[in-house]
Amino acid sequence: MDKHMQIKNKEAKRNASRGLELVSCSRARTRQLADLSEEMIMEILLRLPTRTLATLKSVCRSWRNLISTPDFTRNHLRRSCLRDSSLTPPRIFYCTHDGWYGGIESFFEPSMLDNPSEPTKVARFSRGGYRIVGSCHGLLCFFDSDADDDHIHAILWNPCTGFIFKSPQINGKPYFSGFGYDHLSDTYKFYATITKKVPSGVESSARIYTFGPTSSWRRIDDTPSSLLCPRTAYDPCMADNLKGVFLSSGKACTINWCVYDVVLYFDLGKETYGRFTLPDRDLNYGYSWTHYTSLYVLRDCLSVCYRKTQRWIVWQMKEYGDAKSWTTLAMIPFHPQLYDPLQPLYISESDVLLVMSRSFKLVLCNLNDGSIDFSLIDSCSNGMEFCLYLSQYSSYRMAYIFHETLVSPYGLQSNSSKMLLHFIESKPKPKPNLSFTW
Amino acid sequence: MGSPLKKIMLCSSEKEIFSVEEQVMVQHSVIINNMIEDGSYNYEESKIPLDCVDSKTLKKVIDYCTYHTHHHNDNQEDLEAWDAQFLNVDSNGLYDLLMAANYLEIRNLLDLIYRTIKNMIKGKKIDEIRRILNIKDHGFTPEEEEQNRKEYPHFY
Repeated sequence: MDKHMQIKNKEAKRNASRGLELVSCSRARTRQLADLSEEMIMEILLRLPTRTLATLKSVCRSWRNLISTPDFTRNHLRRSCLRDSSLTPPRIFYCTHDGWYGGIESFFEPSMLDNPSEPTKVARFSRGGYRIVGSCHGLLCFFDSDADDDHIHAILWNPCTGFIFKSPQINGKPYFSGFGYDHLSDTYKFYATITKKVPSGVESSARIYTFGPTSSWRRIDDTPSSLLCPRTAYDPCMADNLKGVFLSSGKACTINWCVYDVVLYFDLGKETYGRFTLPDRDLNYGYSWTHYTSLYVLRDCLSVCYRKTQRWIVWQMKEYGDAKSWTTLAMIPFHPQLYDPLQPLYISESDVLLVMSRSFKLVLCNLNDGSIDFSLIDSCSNGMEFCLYLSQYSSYRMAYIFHETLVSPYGLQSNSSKMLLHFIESKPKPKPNLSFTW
Repeated sequence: MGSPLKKIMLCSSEKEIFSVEEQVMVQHSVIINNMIEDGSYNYEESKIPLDCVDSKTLKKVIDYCTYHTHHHNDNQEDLEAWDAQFLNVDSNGLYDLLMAANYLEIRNLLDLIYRTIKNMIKGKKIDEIRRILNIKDHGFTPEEEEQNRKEYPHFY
């Protein structure tokens, strides 16, 4: 149906509601689905999963154009968040690093929930040198880290579309960092406190990079001192909390860090800081709490997991920023294999809590009946030479829930083709080589 | 909301008159609901002319609205089975129904048709989708098309 007909149709509708003199509307000549209006095509495409849409870009030019518009991307994201989560089933991305080997790997969660006893296959995307900082809207943000260089770049990657963008470099080493979306300016921001050597010693400052074609690193003032001064830079447990947790609540978009007994946050819209307290804990338990508290996001709420005598307790902050609204979400009964700090990742619609345990891979806790399953991650298939990933003790906070989208930041073009990674694997080869070289 | 006993007249493109319970159409069609609410429909003499809906399609649309008015309490499975049977039509028929549902603003029927077309596409290869939707001109240059085929051979 062409524009002319759409107008006529609208006119006819107006007339219909005013009086009964309906204008005759011409019928499409061919009566074929190829003649559907752009609006109708959009209605159909919006109901399809992200991965399918990436394929459908090759059906015809008008579909490619439609699927590539920011409006479509945004509508699809909204639809998949609010109405139909099956449009972008969660993947889990994680970053491993043990001092020698490291990399970014990913696997698909639903297959695991459906059939925990079947080993879940892993796709590998990079070798060491890259650290995931955060993920939102189907974008993964990393920085590159090379022991010899005293500078980093912020890198933004959409694994579904292949979009990749690298920021200008900044000198120094990141300490606290985070990545998130600012709804006020509709932009994606990378935050880091950067420490660099100066003649008089070291200097720390908070910097922000807004992903955009002409952006540069900006300094943020009034930063709380606890985010700025590296106390125990090599304390592996502290390192767990260096990557901030992004949370988008009705009120604000924030990056949150757990620093000792409080949550410090950075408001990405206002670019200001704030703080609130953690839920009460039982200090009688042996572990020092500085070591084992990390923040997570479960069902769009900030969450924290404590060990309390014979079980793990997952707390959820119902009203973001209101410390009175910490509520117990789940209790995970003690299990001999669950002695490590737990990282809750995700709760499925069927109330299965997916938890990452440092030493024992992935744990599926059924919140309805309290049962526990241990899932197998097959990280050795796909021609990988080392199978230490995931099972390996990692000193870095590492797993991220990830929903595929077609999002790329407004006005931004991929700028680093040599790092181009593609999520949609080509036809399986006899011996696939998934270890990309960047 | 109209009285359940009242009837309204719909007139197809072939000038065939269909008499339908008012409530059936008011509940489903936004445009007819507006017409009744603003009083522009005269029960004595009005016939709502639907010049772009042929008799066959109009009859189907009325069937759909009638069934869903009287069976809205049925369990979801039965309704879905009925809907699937209802939409077991060729692609021209589907196109006509879509146009009619769009014109009359029958939201649940629109949604059903969109979902049906979505399912026709999902999981299909590109060549197949082009055939199903009868897309003859994909608009790519021969070089682009060749590039796509080379890059993603398993999509085709």
